[in-house]
Amino acid sequence: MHGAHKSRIRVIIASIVLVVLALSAAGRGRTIAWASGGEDRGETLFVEKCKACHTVGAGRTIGPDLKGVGARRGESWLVRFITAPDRMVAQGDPVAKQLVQEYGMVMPSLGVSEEEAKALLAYIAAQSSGSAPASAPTASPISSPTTAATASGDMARGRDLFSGKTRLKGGGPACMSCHNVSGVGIWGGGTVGKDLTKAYAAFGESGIVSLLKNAPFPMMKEIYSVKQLGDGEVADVTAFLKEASSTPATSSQGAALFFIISVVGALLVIGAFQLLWRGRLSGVRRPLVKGGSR
Amino acid sequence: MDVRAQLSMVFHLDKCIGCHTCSIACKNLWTSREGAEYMWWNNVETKPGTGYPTLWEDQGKYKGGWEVKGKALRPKIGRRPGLLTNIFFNPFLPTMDDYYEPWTYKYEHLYTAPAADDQPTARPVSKVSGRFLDLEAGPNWDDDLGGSSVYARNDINLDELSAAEREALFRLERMVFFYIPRICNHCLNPGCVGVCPSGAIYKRAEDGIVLVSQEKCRGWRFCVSGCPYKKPYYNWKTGKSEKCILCYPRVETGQAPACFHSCVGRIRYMGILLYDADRIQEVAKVPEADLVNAQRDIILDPCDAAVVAGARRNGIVDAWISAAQKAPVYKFVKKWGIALPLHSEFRTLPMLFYVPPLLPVLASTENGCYDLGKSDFFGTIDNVRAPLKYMARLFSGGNVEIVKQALRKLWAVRAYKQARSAGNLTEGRAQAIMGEARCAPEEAEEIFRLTALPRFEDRFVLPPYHREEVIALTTETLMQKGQTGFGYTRLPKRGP
Amino acid sequence: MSWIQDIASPQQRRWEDFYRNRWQYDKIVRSTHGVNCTGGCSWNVYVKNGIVTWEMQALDYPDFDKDIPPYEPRGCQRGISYSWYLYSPIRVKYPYIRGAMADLWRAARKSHADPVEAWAAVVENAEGRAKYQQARGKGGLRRTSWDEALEIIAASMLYTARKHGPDRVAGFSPIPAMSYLSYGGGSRLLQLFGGVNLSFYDWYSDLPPASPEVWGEQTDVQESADWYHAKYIVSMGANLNMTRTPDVHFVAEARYQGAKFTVLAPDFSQVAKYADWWIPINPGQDGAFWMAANHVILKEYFVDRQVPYFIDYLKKYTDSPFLVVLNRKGDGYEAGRLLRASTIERYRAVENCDWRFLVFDGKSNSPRMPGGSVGARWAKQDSGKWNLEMKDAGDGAELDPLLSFIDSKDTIAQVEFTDFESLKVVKRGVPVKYVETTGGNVAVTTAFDLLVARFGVSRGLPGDYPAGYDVAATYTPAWQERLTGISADTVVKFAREFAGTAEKTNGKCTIIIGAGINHWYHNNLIYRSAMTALMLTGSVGVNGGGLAHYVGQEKLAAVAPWSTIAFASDWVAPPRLQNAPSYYYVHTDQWRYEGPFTNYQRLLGENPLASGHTMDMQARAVRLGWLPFYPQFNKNPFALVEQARKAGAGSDEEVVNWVVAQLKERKLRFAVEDPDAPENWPRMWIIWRGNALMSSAKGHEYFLKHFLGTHSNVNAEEVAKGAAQDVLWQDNAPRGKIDLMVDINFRMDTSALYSDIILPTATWYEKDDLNSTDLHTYIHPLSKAVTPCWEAKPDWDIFKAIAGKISELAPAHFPNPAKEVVAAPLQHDSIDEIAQPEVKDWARGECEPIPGKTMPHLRVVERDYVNLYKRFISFGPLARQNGIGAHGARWPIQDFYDEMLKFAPVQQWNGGRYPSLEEAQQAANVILYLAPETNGDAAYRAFEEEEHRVGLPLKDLAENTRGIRYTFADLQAQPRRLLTSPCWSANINDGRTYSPFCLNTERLIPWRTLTGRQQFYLDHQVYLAFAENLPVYKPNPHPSVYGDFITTKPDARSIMLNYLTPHGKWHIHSTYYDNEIMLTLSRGMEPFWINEEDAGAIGVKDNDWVEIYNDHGVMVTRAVISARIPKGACIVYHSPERTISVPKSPLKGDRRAGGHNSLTRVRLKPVLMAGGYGQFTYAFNYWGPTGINRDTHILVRKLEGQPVW
Repeated sequence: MHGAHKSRIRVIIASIVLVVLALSAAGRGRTIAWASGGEDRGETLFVEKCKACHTVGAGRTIGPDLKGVGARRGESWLVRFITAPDRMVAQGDPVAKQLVQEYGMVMPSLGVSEEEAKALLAYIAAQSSGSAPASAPTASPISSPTTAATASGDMARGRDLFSGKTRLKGGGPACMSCHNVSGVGIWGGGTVGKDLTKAYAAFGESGIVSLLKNAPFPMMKEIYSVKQLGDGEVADVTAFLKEASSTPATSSQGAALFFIISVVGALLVIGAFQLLWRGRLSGVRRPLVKGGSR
Repeated sequence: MDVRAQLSMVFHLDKCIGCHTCSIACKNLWTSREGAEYMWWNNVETKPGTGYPTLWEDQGKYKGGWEVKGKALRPKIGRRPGLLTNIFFNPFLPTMDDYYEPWTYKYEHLYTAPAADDQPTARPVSKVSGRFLDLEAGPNWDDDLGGSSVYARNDINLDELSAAEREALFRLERMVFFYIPRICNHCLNPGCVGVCPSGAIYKRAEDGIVLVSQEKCRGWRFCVSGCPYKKPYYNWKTGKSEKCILCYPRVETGQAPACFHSCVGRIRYMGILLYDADRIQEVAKVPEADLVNAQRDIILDPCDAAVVAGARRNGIVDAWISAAQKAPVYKFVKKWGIALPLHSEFRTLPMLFYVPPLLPVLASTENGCYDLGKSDFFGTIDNVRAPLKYMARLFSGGNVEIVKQALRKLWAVRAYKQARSAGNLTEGRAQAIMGEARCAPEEAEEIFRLTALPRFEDRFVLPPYHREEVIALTTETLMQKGQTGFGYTRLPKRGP
Repeated sequence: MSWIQDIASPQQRRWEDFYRNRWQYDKIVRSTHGVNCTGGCSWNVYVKNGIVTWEMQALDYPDFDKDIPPYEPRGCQRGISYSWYLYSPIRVKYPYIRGAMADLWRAARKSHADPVEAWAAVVENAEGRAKYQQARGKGGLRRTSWDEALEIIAASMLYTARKHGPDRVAGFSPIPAMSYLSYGGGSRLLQLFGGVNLSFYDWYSDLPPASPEVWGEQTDVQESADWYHAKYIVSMGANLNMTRTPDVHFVAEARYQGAKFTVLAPDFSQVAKYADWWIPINPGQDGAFWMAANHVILKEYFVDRQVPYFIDYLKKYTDSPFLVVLNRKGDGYEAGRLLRASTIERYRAVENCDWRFLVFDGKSNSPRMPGGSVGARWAKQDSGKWNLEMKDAGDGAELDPLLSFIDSKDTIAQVEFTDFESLKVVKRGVPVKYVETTGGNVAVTTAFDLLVARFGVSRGLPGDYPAGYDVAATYTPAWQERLTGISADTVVKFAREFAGTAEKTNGKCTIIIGAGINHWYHNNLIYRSAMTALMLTGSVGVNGGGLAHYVGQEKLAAVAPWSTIAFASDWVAPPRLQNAPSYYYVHTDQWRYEGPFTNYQRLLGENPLASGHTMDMQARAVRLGWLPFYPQFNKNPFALVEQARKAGAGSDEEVVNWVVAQLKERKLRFAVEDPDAPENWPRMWIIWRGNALMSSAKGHEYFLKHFLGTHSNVNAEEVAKGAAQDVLWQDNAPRGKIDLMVDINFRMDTSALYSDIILPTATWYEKDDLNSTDLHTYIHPLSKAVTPCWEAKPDWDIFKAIAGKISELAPAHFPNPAKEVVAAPLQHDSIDEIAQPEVKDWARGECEPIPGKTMPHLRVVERDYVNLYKRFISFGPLARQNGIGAHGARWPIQDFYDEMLKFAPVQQWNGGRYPSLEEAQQAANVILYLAPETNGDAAYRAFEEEEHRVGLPLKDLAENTRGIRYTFADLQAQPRRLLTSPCWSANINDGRTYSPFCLNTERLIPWRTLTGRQQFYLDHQVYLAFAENLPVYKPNPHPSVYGDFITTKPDARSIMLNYLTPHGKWHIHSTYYDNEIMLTLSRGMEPFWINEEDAGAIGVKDNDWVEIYNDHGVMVTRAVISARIPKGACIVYHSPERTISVPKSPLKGDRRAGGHNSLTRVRLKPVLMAGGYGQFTYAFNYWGPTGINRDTHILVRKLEGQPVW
């Protein structure tokens, strides 16, 4: 059923669907799959929650390689960390703090329950001990993040993609909607997400690629899991971020200037919208009653 | 073959009496609250007419559904980048006037009016502004051809008729109307899901019910545009969109949805259909006139061994497969071919199917006298009152033959029963009619039984849900047993 | 596939609990809606948080045959919106009183310790009385306490009884079947008190007078499931989708079972959508269509060819072989009366021989007397022969009656028939035999031969017979074309399909008929024309056949015990039951606005029985005991007894004799003879369970003007002076007859708005009661889902409270039981049916006044106001003593009564023990325990009694269900199917659907008519005078003579239209009309439906405001323009309220406009007052003129400027 002619992305998505479907399709069916033990479930959870940043035995990406993590840290610590990493950091757990230092970010809280965390650990342990070299469930055709190459990435194209000058093929919003990078556009980018000026430095190439292809962050996940970036786009954006990491951050822009620009911009935008959508609120019923045609 | 299960519906329009009980059953349960006043998850429309919201079928205006551009299927409203540019200012929305301004009356005035020299009366007041309101529109304003000069005459499905044919529809010997109850079609290729910027809309894997997550919805209202049937509504109170939920809390507990339960015309049927999810894109792209057949094709025979195997492979359990095998919907839609999707040309693959109405036969007027004298006992396909082109516009993507065949079969059933129980039609004549309709006596008998005699459990064959297992996924079921219902009544928070 | 989202994560789907939490409830309670819709639907009422949150249809009707579609679900758009009312701002939450009255009362109460005296002070102050009367309907309501409200009501009742008589207190409440005990509470109070219950079925014009005329039955119809057995269904004047919403699916299902469905309706009505044939007949011309169809049926199935089934059926079950005397008239003949056994030597000695009728037996070649006639029914010695066997009731010989004399005639007589359209007489030859009678040789023919001649079907006899279908003469297919707008070919084809189906299926033809026919002036004739087709084709008394008339939820299944309780005949009899059409016609002075009825109902020749003013006929009908009338005399009936005593009358009999003498000497007068004299006014009007002032109050504005004395929009002229001979004319028409108007209601409807006192009643989800209908055969309850909200009380408890207050105040005014005289008309289903073989007026000296014979019954009864309350709550001893019964059947209940004293709650007082009726639920259980429909043993017993009269086995019908007993709790658990009972006419054993008269055709129980058969021929002298002895077509009254436009004239901006007010989609009558959900789904008010072309002619666009008006009043609403409305007619669906969104009318001086009945004035059809004779004897809601309104015309114009509020 995975016809070779179909686009790669479609295959990927279809496969996810298949996996998940097999586990959970109809009422009773789904629950049987869930109930069948930690490993299956752990696998699904891993794909869903962890895989974007971690591998089991395939090396460090955004986060650490988890192979043998159970041996390195105690289970109770791991469960606490997985279920609420931010709280661990806030409580000043030394190991957690050290991880933040090392990887440049706090692991996002993914709403993993205690039970799920245990299932995940069981899965990771199984993967770690087994001879299978797979870094991910076999059913998943997601390519290893490290295989993505940025060699072909074009920094200029990446900038245009980031700023939205060039549309993303998958239909997702431009990165700039939420993120800023020093020197992008005169207005700078959004402040909803992190400033990405230093992202490349923090995550490295494989990390960025993995993030772009398989965003772990809730909002990004929501948007881009269905509006996937193409490989070329990933490469371009990565190239752009690599370039950006060498320039200073933009937080120094003057507040006054920002304010003025905002007001003028808002007026312009409002004016433009008035023009663009002047017909927006014209209903159809009244013209009908007045005897006009539709 | 990717076999999936879908809760599907048949509405038998020949039996529909236009009473709107369904609409109110739904309103009572789900939408009689602030912010939802104007929502009619279930409504009933008179055809010809312009429906609710006004002219919803006109995708020239509203851009709902999908279109084929080149080889690709894309939302008519445009691809996502285009959507995002409109995100704050969607131009393809119905206005309040195309719905209506919800109103009530100053009832209390009847009690509080001081002694005066004339009688008090309760005037209409807007539920939006609280001011006295001049009523101009309502959710069912053109009921029963009300305001036919404005509404029925502007039904866009009449566009293909000649001026003379259109005019005839408003004369005695040809005049006609009928009803179409509408709920969310829980489409296989939903327009609303396709355009939601928030990813808040999803189709439940187990039963295909399409839902707007009240957690995730950000109120962008693209679903309102994207749905060609205008079935998602924006709740101004919660800032989120809502739509028909097919009464999943009832369905999950083995009860038919409220509008189905309350259908006093007994026109509604519900059951599980199995279909091939692999073929959705392909089917949604076929030429307009082939859409109905293509959609039938994607529906799988639940008794076919390969289908059953495929269903099992996808985790569909036997009890659901067995429900699909008993479902009345499969028979109406696929086996008999008499139930048709509404506006298949919107390409959303709606999973609600309509048996088209027969309606009275044509007459003629000679010397000022109305004459029916020449028609057959029941009439024939050649003298149906509603123009076939019009019916085909509604039910078969303009393919007249499909709607004609469905009507022929309804006639055949009646001719078969009439010949056998009364004899105004001879056996020979009945056989001729059945032959033309390609309807064997066994099939006629079966159609008759499911149309005339069905009990509640024949009309609604619902699959068994195992809520205890689903609950166990997030919390211990025994715990939930003790906890369910605790808490305060709170609406979802407004906005994101 | 990209739309498949979130498949795996139950976490992300936890929000789904949002909607699951809404689908939660604390309990479900079974109830229904006590509304006059015939639905009788069982509902589940959902309660959460102590409030009713919504309702859903119950589905658990016991299934009775798998080959018949089930009843589930029942319940329509209106019913499902009911819960809105409970907590809505239009709910009556507390007792209210009009300020103007409150001020007067409170002032009077300060100076009078006794409330009765205080009330006297209020109403005897003419200025004060006028002041609060004029304030009616105009705001100024104040909240009051239950105690104050009850005190005023009780004081007013006692004052009225003392001053004027208890028969000045009238109550109006419709359709008991929709909530047995809510009705029964009020009627029980009134009847214990001596007050008057006003009828509703005839006033609503729901009673089809043709049914008593032809079948001797108020109404008896198929349950809707029986339609499924029909093979040809005709709907006329009925809009099933609108009015039979939960039942209409049976038609759809019958269609798939092979039935054809034909709809006769002037508009493309909602039901036309369903039809195979839609026949857009001109409004009100259905009679012409059927007359022509009958012409075809008679010609093709009786003359050209004989269908054995039809012939056999006519002979067995109809009067068609009975002999009619032909009287000489000029050089021809006219049809006279039925030939009576008393005129034949052979039968002169037979008991009641004046009331036995003859056929011509082909075997013995002589006139013979079959059993089954009314004379046999009431025979005392010669009993047990009241059945339909075609045997001589004397010697038991088998008879073979001749249907026609065509092959054995002695001669041919030219009989006169009137064509009422051209007002010309035609003469047609009829085959005749001569019969030797005690009065000499008389010419007779059969009813069938007259029928064939009347319909103009030629059998080669000389006379004015049309040559063929295409000759336009009475009553050919060509003749009807001009009237109906339907081609002759269509009628011929229709008739062939109809009769052809009946021939092939033995009568499986059903006509569903309703208000669209029954509200025309000549409704009885239109009905008879259709019933003729049914009878000719043997389609009555078979499953799948018959006349399905559904207007009003009249079928109170458990009628026998219910009527005993409701009319208090367990304590006192007879009750005062008044036909409301006469009452309102007279007391709201609508009679003053019309001249002789012959102005608009044209008749040929002069006949004293068919001329004059309707009031003359009304007065005669009261005088002769044909119809009731209250107040009965121009004196207080208590005072009358005292006066008689003073004059020396000792016994009750002597009192009656004294009263008769007073009447004869004209010292005592019937109140109806001088209705506008203050001593003859009604004084109190209590309304409950209905909207008496608007919904069906034909002549609404006249009610306001004369009855209530408040402002009205009437600008008609009084024209009756000099026209009415038998009643006195008061030059100044009274303004404000009613002292106190009380409305018991859960919503502020038009009646409540105009009342002096409004009492909050429990809704249908807040009380216990019983409910049944004719549309199905189940009985089920109303139950209390929540406590009556705010200060509301159930109706039963409200009347109980009034009774308590009366008993509390009574000792000062009626310390001891007091006697009064009750006048009551001759009764149907009693020996009164054979009281008056001829019309003779004692007031004109034509006979002696004899109570119960030539005049009303006069009975002396005792009222015990001190013990009124105790009587109210106790099931009295007369029930035990007299037994119970209905529809002519009667049986003893002593043992049942005594059993109840053992196991049921009892009341004990003054040394007596009685089954308790204190709570409505207790009363319900008494009813269920005694009714043959709900107690199998009672049914067995009732059939056993019936066997004695019929002389054929019947009790086997109840054998298998003898052990069944239903209790109220049983009904709450599940609706229960009724049992076969002799009070009704169908066999519903073994899963059979209810089809009326099946017991008559299958068990040979006679119809309760003169001949015991279905009557084609009506020989009441009044019917002969009106030429309605045979089915006939009479044209509708034309607006030019009907009197709607004497002061109001058309102008260039207006157009005149026939004003149709059929039942609407968004309300049941006026109930639900004010419901926000219904108003939202419609146009926010009741609009005015008009055709596109007519609207264009006066420049009206869709949704424009219009003024609709005539002499009677005005309505202001918005127009709906629709192609489906026929030209020349308009529709305002029955029935709007004037409380919702009604602007003022510029035409009427900027006063608030009215509702649909502001445009009507009632006319009573005099022939329907005929009585004292067979099936033409009075029963409540069974006989009398109906409140027709369909012939009304209106003018409409665009409202000038913006509406003024």
